[in-house]
Amino acid sequence: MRKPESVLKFRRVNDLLSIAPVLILAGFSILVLLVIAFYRNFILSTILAATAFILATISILFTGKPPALVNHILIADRFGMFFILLILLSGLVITILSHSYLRGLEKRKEEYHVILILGSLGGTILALSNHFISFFIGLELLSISIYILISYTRDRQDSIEAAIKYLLLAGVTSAILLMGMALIYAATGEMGFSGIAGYVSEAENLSILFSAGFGLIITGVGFKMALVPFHLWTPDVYEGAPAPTTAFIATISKASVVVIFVRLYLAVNGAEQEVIVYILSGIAFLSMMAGNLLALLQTDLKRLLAYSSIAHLGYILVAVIAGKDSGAEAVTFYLVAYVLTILGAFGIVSVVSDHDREFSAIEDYQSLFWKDPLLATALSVILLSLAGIPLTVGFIGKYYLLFTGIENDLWFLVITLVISSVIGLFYYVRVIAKMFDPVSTDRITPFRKIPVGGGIALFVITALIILYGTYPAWLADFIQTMIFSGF
Amino acid sequence: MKTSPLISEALSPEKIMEKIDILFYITSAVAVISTIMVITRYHAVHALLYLVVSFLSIALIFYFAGAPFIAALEVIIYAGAIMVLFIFVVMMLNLGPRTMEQERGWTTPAIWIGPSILSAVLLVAFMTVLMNNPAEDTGLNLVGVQEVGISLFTEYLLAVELTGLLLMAAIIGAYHLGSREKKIYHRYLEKTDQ
Repeated sequence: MRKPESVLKFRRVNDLLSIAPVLILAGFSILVLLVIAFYRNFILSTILAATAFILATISILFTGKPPALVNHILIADRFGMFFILLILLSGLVITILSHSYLRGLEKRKEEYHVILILGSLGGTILALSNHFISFFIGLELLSISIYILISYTRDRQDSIEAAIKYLLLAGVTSAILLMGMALIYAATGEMGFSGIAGYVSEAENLSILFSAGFGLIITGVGFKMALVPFHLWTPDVYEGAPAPTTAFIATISKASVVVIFVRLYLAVNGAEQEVIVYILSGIAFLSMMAGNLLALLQTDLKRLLAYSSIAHLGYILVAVIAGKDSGAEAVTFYLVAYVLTILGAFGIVSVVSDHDREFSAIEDYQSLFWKDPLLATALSVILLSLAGIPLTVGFIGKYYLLFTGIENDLWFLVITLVISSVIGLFYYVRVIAKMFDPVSTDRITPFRKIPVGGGIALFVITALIILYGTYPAWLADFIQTMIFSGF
Repeated sequence: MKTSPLISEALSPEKIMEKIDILFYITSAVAVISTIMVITRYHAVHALLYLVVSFLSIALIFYFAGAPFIAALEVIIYAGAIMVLFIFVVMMLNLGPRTMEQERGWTTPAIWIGPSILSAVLLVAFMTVLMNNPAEDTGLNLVGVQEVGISLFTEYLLAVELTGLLLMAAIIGAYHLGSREKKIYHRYLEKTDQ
């Protein structure tokens, strides 16, 4: 029998300090809940949630530079911390957006922020996790928060429908994911990623058991990333969920799952395993083509963005497949670009909407240039960035992806990426053209006044898209020195 | 070494493991059959009966694998929770003598035959192992309560804490989605339960 002391892992204060952002989020979720119990005030809970995200962001500065293994299931390295930064800043923006969106709700709107903090906590756990246990618990924390965030406006039938769809499918894929973990554990006897990496480097070729397990994990992860054979929930959930929640699903949920998948892929040295590369290439091809082709048919902005997000995750997968450090760097850059842009897109939908009326049909944005030039400019910049037009951050991101793909001789995927991007350009520009339509007074409901907080957030996002598009070196250098100097 | 009526003393550890393997396959077959029965029943209450059997057989598989504590948890949490569900169904539909009649119709003696046979098979398999106590002979690594507790609160302490937060999120969600409230649209209009 082992001595309890010998396995106690919290021996140093540094261990706690190195996961400070996680602890701050966890603490604030309880604090906000307690404050709600004594004094219900939506403004107060918004401020507290925003404080949680800001404090957690600041605390990243105090986490140590060398990677620290915490309690052996989390690894606090710069790679994870960078994504935590991304998650926390997205969380801050979503908090601001949710305030104006939910303001009109009659009762119990404060809990939204508790769940938002807990969901982001799940994301941060995923970003740091180095073990199947933390992988699964982080994913479940994220999923359960998403169910609640989707159905939060429970008077709207769309929300409930979307939540049920997501609940059933996410439940099934969690089971599939667990089965995959069990198979890999059966094949390797390890649950930690480093242990699995050790097994893979020693084995001559992977056993069927291991490949099958990894395939099932791809299914579970692919569902969360909405890659093509597992994407069916995406448009309905994006459309039905309240706009801030859609922003949450599109940014925090997807980014954190991409991080954990990159970690796992690097651990099993996926770029060297032919089976895995073939499967992922097929998924990437289907995602890019199907996402862009189906987006052509959409008349609803949220559905259109849903299909475009399927395509974008397909693009990211190209760099993931490339593997190695250059692949991880391209993934990081593209994710920053994607999260920034999509946050802006859903930010615009949520500042003009509220809990019982959402302006998400493309028709609603007709002749926006003549009614609200600033908002229309912001939306145009965001759509152009999604399309990957030069001078926006989306272009630089795509350049990174293409560069990585060519460097690793993934010609088939690179060509698919280029062709599908051209198809994609069409539907983004169509929305912009709609905004330039001359004013027609009939059946256009005017948007409400744009809230100050949301307006500032959108302004910053739009400015960053152009700034990083014009001077990409700032972001690229930051990523390189922060993360990959010691990766 | 203990003597046993079912497995003779002379058997080597390998032979005992073989016997356990056979028992494992029998139990697995019960698990598969009962789960198929769960998804093919038209009536929810009948399906629940088979679901209990399915959980019991999975608990038994855990027991054979040397995890008696997890086996006990499986019975208490899953099979126990199903019983509670059962009671809820009966409680919620208990609206008068007509429903009483209806409920009696759900649980005719014939319904119990299938689950009883499967449970009996499980009982025999369980008794066979229990009377032989093979762990001592085969060196099967037993994971008891103490081991589970130690690994939960040292190695996986962080995971346990996170699970607490996960449950908190779930409870807040259940509270938000489940709460009912009376909505009065206008005082002259009819009061409606929303």
